[in-house]
Amino acid sequence: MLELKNVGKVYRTERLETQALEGINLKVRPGDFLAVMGPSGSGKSTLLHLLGLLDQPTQGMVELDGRQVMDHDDVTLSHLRNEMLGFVFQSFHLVADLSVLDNVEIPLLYRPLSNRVRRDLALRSLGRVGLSSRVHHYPSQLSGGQQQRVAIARAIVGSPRILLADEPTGNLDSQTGEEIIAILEELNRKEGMSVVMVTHDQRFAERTHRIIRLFDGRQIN
Amino acid sequence: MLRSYLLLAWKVLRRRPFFTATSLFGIAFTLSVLTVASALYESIANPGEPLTRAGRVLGVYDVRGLGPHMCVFSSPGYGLLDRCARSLPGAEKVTVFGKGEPMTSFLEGRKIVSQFRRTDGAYWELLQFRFLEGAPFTADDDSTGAFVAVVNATTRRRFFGSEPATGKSIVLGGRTYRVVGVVKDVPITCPEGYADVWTPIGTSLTPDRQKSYLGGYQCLVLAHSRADFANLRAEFARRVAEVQIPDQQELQTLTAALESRQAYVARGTFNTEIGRDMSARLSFAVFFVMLLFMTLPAINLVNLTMSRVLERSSEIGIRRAFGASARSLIGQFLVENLVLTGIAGIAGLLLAAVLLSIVNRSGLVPYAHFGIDLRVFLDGLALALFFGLWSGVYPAWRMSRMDPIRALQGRLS
Repeated sequence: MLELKNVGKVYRTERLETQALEGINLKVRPGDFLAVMGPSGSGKSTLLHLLGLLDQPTQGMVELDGRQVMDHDDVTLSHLRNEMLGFVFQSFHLVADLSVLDNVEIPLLYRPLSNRVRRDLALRSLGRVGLSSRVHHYPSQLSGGQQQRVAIARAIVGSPRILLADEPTGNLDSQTGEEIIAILEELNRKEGMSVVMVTHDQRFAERTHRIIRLFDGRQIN
Repeated sequence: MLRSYLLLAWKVLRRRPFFTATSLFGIAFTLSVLTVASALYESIANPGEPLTRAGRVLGVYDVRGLGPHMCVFSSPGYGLLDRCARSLPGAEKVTVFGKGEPMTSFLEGRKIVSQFRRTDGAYWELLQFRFLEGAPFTADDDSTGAFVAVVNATTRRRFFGSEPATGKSIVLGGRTYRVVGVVKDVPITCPEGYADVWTPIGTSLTPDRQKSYLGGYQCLVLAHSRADFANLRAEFARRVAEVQIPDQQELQTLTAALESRQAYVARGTFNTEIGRDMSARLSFAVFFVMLLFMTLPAINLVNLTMSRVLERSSEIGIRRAFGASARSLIGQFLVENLVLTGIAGIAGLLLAAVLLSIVNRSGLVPYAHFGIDLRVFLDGLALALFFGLWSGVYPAWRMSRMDPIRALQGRLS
C-alpha cells in the first residue's frame, strides 16, 4: 500500500549537511501495525513525515498503491493526505479556540461534504473513542488522555487507510498511555486500519506486529 | 467550511481584545474618513436631484479670451452661449443661466442674504427640481422679462414662515418679484442647481449683456445620448471658432468647450486648459490618495496578522497534515481578514454616518444632505473588501508557504 524504496533524507543548511535517513526500505500493508523505535535523533519522526507525505526524500522513492507520489503537486498531495492518512501527535496539536467537535471536523473541511454529514461523522468518531459526552468542551477543559483521544478521533474521522502516530503516549501517564494503545489496537484489529507508531516504550512496541529499529538514520533490523 | 472559517476568525479576534480593538479602530477610522470623502466626491461628481441626467449633460463652464496683450479667463457671457450653444443641432435641451450672486433683502429689520440666479425657461426642463408648491416660470416669462421668482424652501421659511409662498411677493435688491413656485433646497455641491431664488434672465438682460462674450453665465446641454457628445462638441467648437470679436485690439480668439461635469471638476483640480478631459487622471489620483491613506493601517494589519499566523503555527501544520492545500489556507486567512475588515467596515460606515450628519447640521456646506446612500454604502463596502484583501494577501501567502513540519514543531520565525 505505502512503500519507501531505498529512501534517504539529507537536511542541508549553509554550513551543515545532516543525513537524517539513509537506505530505508519499508512497506506498510493493509492491516499492519508497526512500531518505529530508536534513540532521539535516529530519524523516527523524519520517517513518519516521509510516510505522511509531509516531506520529500532527497533520495529513493515513496510509492502509494504502486505509484510514485513525490512528483505530485501540492493540491494532489494534500488530497492524498486527506483521503489516505491520519495523524496523531505527541503533543496532540488541538486547536485551542475550537470545540472538541470542531477540532474533529477539521479533516472533513477539505472534502465536499455538507455540514450535517461532517457533524454526524465527527460525532460518530468521537463516539468511537468514548468522548460523546465532551463534544462541546474545549481542549483546555480536557485531561491529556482525553485530548489525545480527541486527536485520534480527528485522525480517524475521514476513515484513512493508514494512521501515523508520533509518540502518541509520550505526554501521558502509563495508565492513560495504555488506554490510547488499546484504542489504536482496536482500530487496527477491528477496522483493519494500518497503524505506524513511533514510540520509545518497549512494552507498547511489543504489542505491534513489527518493530522497525532506527539508529543514526539507518534501519538496523 | 466557511462557517468553520468564520467561527475561527471570530474566536481568533477575541483572543487579544486590546490588539483587536486597536486594529479595528484604526481600520474603522480610516474607512470612515474614506467613506466621508467618497460621499463628498459622489455628491459633487454625481449630484443627483436636480441634475439627475448628469450622464447625458455637457456644460460650458469657462471661456478663455486671448489677445496680443492680455489673457482673460472667466465664465462665458450670455451672447457667446446664446449664439454658439442655444440652437445646437442634436441637443435635446439647452439652458443658459447666470452663475449666481448674493442679493440682500430686509425684512422687518432683518437682513437676509439670498443666493440669486437668473435662468431661462429651459432651465426648469433640463434640471429636475422637486417643487413643493407652485410651478416654474416659463420661457414666455423669460422673454417678457416678467418679475416672477422661484424660491427654495429655506427662503420661503425666511420670508413667510410656515405659510405657502406662491402668489406672494418678495423684494430682492430693491425689486419686487411674485413667487410662482417653491423648490426643495439644493446643496452647493450641485452648483448648477444651487440658489435661494431664481428669476428669469429677461428681467435684467440689457443689450450689452445680450452681446457679451465673457462673464456671468453658464450653459448646460442635454444630449439625446452620450453618443451625441462628439458631434455636439465639434459643432460648438466650430461655432466658437467663427465668433467675430468686435474689438480685436484686446481679444482675438476665444476658447470654450462643452465639457462633462467630471471633466470640469478635474480641470479645476489640475488647472489645465479648457476642453482637456482629465477626469480619468482625477479618478486615478483619488484612487492613489485613498490607497496611500490606507497604507498605514494596512501595514499595521499585516503585522498583526503575521504575528497571529506565527501564534497559530500548530494549527497551520495540522491543517496541512490533514489535507489543506496552500490555496485553501490562503482562502481561510483571507476570510479571516475579511471578517475583521468587514466588522471594521460596518463600524466605519456608522462613524461616517455620524460625521456626515455633523457636517450636514453644521451649515458649513449650504443645504448639504450628505448621507450613506446605496452608492456610498457600496463604495464603503468595496473599500473594506479591498482593504481586507490588500492587507490579507501577504500574510496568507507567507502562511501558505510554511513547511508543515516546522509549523507543527513550532519552529517558525
